[in-house]
Amino acid sequence: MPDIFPPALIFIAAAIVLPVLPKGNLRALFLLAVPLVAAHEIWQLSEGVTHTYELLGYSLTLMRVDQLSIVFGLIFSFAAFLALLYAWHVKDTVQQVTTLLYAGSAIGAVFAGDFVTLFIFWEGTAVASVFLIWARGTEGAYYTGMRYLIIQIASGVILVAGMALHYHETGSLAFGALTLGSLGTWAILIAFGIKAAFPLLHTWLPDAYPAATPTGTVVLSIFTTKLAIYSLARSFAGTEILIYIGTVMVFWPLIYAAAENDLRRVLAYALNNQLGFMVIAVGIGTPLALNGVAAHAVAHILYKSLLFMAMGAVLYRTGTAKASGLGGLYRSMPITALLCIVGGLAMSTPLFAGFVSKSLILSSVAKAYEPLIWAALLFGSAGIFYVAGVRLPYLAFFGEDKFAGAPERPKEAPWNMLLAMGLTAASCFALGLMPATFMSFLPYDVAYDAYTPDHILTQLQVLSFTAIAFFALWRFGLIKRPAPGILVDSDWLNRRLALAIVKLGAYISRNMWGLMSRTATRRLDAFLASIYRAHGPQGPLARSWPAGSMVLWIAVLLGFTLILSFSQSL
Amino acid sequence: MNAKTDTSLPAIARLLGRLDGRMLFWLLVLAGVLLALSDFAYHRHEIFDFEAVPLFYAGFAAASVLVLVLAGGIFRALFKRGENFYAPFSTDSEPPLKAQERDHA
Repeated sequence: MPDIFPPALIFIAAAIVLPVLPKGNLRALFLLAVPLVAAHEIWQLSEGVTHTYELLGYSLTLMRVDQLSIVFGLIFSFAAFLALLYAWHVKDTVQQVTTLLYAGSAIGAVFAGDFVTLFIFWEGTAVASVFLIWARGTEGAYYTGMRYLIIQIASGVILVAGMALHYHETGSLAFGALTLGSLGTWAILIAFGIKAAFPLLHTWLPDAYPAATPTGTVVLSIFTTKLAIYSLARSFAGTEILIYIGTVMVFWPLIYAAAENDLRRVLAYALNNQLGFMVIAVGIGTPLALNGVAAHAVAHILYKSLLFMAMGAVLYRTGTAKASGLGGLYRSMPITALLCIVGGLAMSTPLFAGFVSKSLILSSVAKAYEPLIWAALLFGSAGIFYVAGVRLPYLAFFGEDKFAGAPERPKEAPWNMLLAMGLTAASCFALGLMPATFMSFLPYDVAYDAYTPDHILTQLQVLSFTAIAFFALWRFGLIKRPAPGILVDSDWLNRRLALAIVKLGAYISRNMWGLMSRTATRRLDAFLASIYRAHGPQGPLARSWPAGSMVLWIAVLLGFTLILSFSQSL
Repeated sequence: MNAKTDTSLPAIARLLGRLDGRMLFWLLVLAGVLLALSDFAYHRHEIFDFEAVPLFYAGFAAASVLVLVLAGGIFRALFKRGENFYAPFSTDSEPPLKAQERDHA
């Protein structure tokens, strides 16, 4: 299909052209046009291998098109459009260029047909995205960006090692279904797992996302983790261990999200929890489950972007996204408040996209007859609605008015942020309202009805009693506005414990060396002093140097030589 | 001034002000009771036996919130540190973004 230009290259070409355009509305319009053109190109694609290239004698696949890659390519393009609209007011060329490169790399990876092409774009997402953290321009953001970059690059290095081992074993570089077992496939799984924020590999996510700029976090939330989910669905569908990894992901981050003060970090943990839903579905691996993965990736990108946008707008207008410094904002930011509530509802309420996608995943787990995993997902559904659908909007927009005595109340979000949030909310609603259209985009042709009375009633019960429990516990004082402070996660192990061990090792070796060198110097000094005492000008041997003594010793030596010679001649 | 009656506020803010109080809670309780009663009026098609327990979903959701609140409290007690715990290597202890920084972003 030579007349179709690869969508990834559209973004990359636009990133090269962008700096020469004058800053202002023309550049902002150009930015908005790029993802729309790319989405149009993706829409025109037909299934099959459409673009190949040669590299170091290997024939590689730049574009492998099927329904799974089309779904991810389309949602990445559309989400990039929404994020760029949200960032219309940003005049920073670096952020604009890196957003295009980041989106282009993610879309390039989605269409990659081999591991070499995947690796190139995989690292492209890592390098481009870190600039969205550094753009905050503070010392803390610089160090956070460095930590993020090291982990993301490490993921790429492990991927290339896995790829090399896999090629050595099978002779294939194809980015397709893998069977877990060899060292190479394990390395590839770990590389994907880092970006998918598997347990203990996840800390880059709540560390980095709250450190980026208000608009940068929205962009970050779209691509990296969902690219990893796509890669897992492509290569490890039906891998049982993913069910258990995903279950831990559903539980563990929720507890942090329920206790965190920084509301953008709450959303980062909530994002981690929702990735768990998708990882479980990849592990189930049936066509229904994989449809659930694709559908939930789409829904999740939309509603989580909406929530990040709302918190970004709060940060933009008030300078903080910490619950301890917020409250009562609905008075001055009512539209943002309303759209944030819609974002919370879109996660799992009937008539919204999240309801359809979560029903798909829950049904696939139920059909696989996994009662414990199903119960974990039900817990995750209630929990995510509690932390991101009720607690987060309440802490930011309701309760005590923290700006009552301020000289100037925060203003409503700028028009572009409101428009982007409105379009995102409308998209969540449209997909939930037209499930048949939504399902028609999914990779497998599986009949499924999300809007059965059973699903609707049970889900509404879960949501309403979650909200009732929150408000009741709030009234009883069992839930409070969190105090300032951070929660230490497992990255304490490498940021504090490992550092302390290294410092202790350096201290011990430094002191051991000092002790050894002091002892050796003392011994040497004593030895030299004893020689000096014996042979120095005042030493006893120095005193016996007169000629008489010399003659005596020479006579002794001559006598000894004579005895030896005589004994040999016998 | 009460947000519900403060005419200087936009209409949406006044509407939201009505929700910021007991009204929303009692509306939710009413909706919850009606939904819970549906368990007795409508026969669901359960896949797992435990789903057949009356008020299973309502109770499970409320219990999930309680578990999260308790676990979150324990985590805060165990793992909460000052905002400058990782300073200067994190943004947590940095002052709020200034207006010009927000415009840049």
